Amino acid sequence: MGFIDKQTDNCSGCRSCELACSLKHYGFFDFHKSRIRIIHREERSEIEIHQCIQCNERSCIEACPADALSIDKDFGYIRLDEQACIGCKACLKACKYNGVLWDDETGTPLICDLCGGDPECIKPCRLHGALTASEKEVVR
Amino acid sequence: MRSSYNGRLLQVDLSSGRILVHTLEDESLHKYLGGRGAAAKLLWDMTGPETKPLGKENVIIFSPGSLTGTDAPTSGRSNITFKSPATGGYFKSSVGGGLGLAIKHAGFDHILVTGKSKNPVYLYVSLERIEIRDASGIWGRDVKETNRLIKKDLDDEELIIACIGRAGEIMSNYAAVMGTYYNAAARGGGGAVMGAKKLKALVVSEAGGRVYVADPEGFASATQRGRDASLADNHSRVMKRFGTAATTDQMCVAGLLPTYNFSRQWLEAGEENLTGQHLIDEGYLKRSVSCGTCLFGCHRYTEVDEGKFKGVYSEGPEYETFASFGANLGITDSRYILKANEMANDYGFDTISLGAAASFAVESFERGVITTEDTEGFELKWNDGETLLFLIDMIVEQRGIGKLLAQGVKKASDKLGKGSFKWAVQARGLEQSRVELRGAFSYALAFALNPRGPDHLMTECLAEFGDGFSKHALGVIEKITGDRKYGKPYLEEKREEIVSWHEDIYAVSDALGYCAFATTAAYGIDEKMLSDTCNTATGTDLTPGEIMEAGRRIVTLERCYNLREGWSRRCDVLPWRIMNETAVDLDPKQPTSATMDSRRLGRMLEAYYRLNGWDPSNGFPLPETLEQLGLGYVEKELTEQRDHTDEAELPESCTYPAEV
Repeated sequence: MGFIDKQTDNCSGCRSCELACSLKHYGFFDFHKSRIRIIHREERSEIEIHQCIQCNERSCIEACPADALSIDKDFGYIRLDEQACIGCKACLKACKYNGVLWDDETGTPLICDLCGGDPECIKPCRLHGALTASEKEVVR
Repeated sequence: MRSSYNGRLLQVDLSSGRILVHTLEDESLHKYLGGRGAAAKLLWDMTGPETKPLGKENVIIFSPGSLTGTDAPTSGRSNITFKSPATGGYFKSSVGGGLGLAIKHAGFDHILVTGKSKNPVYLYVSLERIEIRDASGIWGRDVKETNRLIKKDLDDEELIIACIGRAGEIMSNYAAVMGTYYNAAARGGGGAVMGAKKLKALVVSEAGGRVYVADPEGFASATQRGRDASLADNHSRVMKRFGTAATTDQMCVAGLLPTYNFSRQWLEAGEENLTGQHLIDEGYLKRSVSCGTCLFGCHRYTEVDEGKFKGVYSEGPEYETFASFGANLGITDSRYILKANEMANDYGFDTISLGAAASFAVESFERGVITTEDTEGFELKWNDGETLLFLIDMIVEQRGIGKLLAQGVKKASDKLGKGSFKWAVQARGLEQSRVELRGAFSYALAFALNPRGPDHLMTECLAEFGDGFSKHALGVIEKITGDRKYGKPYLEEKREEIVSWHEDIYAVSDALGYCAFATTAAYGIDEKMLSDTCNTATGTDLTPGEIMEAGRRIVTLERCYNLREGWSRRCDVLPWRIMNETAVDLDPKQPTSATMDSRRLGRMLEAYYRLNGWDPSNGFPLPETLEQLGLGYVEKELTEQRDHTDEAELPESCTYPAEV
């Protein structure tokens, strides 16, 4: 696959994707360790999906003063060098797609890594169809 | 071992302001599966015949499932358990939305509230602090505004709130607890219990919380199998596209739609307006909404963009709401149903009982038992949306007949007399949900046995409708009875087996937090899936058979709670109208002539009692049955009642007036 296609209108706000992401990366469930975040304002049923879309601008990489971010050669996601990261949040501020989330515990960014090519978040979303695997090529 | 259920109980006493955190014994999981089961045991231990439902001694327990907080498919539900002001018995009301996930991520498996506050308060729960906060500025506000005001008060938009509206404040017997705006724990008057405690809301922050499972890899794999199985049945897609009102029109054509206060089984026209398809066609449906971790998303978020009711927005209407506000009042103008649905959600009413109160009032008016003197001069009519809106206003404002109607049709008919019990469609104090039992015999048996009253949400026996309903339904019937031929709703044979199985799996679903639609409507999550996910999440070692036995233990304990209250076989009945009048008697043009007389029901009950080791003479589980299920301890509190059921006075909720 290439990357993850999002159709926000199809999202029903179940938040399975957030939990599946957390389980895959950490072995437990923590909404604030997820690399995808569903903002659901229930009163008017307004939903936003915050997750890296592997855009072409790479503004997060350019904004990073510590060279901690790079593009993964195999899958095209944004790779974080945790040792190099200084926790300045420049990447978070630079991303206009709300694609960079923040891990308060480690003080480092949370950016979708496509689970190495088999994303967990899309698996519970089959019927909803808000998150689907896209064949579109990503920037390498 | 790490587990998604740790028995952590937050206990808050509103009289003294005391806040305690306990850890429940291991049996709360291993014997009762957490969630609904552990809550039933807490209710058994902490309340009893001396407990007044609206007194300070009653408890209200918020219990997400033992798997809630994980991503097991449809596992986001919570049970709210209390002694009911409507029935005087055990009551569990289930609620979805985000409440359960938030409670679990805030570190608790149960939140139990006792006592009574002097002034209105709300309870705030997070990892960092637990606080009883002043709600005097919020008291009197409707559900949407309550959510807004609390989020502002705490400056946190992401809070998950379960609150009451004005229905709970006036302690209506059918006041709901409203979770995350529109998700109602509707039935039984949980909202009145909160209102009596002056508890406006439970407010939960999930920030920073974590839920663990015993075996992450095994759990992820069991969960994926569960997802695949859930989506394999066609009914999951029906739920997604059309919601619970997918088949109202087909039920009407089949003569299974209760109409005009259960006096008929069909509408002459307009039933297509009471469907999920209609919500799409008219542009009302804006989004299909899921509870936490649900793969289907049967909730409907709807808005009205033009016309008289422009600006109406809420979630629903569900099937039960369409049937209750629509078919049972003869109303087919969906705009009025959407408006009434919004009002019910804002005031925090159970739409089933609210619609039942309205149809009871219209029939009483038609028969001259109530008059324009009771209604401020308003003429109550069938097929009239204005009548419905007027009655809702009267009820919430406690004006005229509204004050009596707010207490439910049982208490209203007791007070009004003049034979009105005959059209008060309730049993054990609860208004019947909108299923035509005279043509669906598993439902009839299940409704007669249900500890809540005649209602579908402890035993949804949809499988008896066979493959007309869902692809997998006949397979389920074959699994239970050994033969697919029993998948027909008008057969009497094998109903006891079908009902028992559904009761057990429903109890397991509630205990673990699964939505019963996944286990008893789409049939994807079966016994094996339940035990696999439970074992890998909590570290139990249960076979599919053992997990179903735990379900039976929960069902039996809940039964015993009511027996201790003075219930018996004599309470295993259906509403008077269902037992004594066929819809054909009431309207000769009816398409079916099925009846649910007491002999037919009696035969099915007897078979059920024998199958489950209950004494057919009084409906009590035999002492050896209790012993086998590990419930021997309840016997000492039942011995006296067991021998005197015939002469004993029935609890108030189970009586009919002397004029019968």
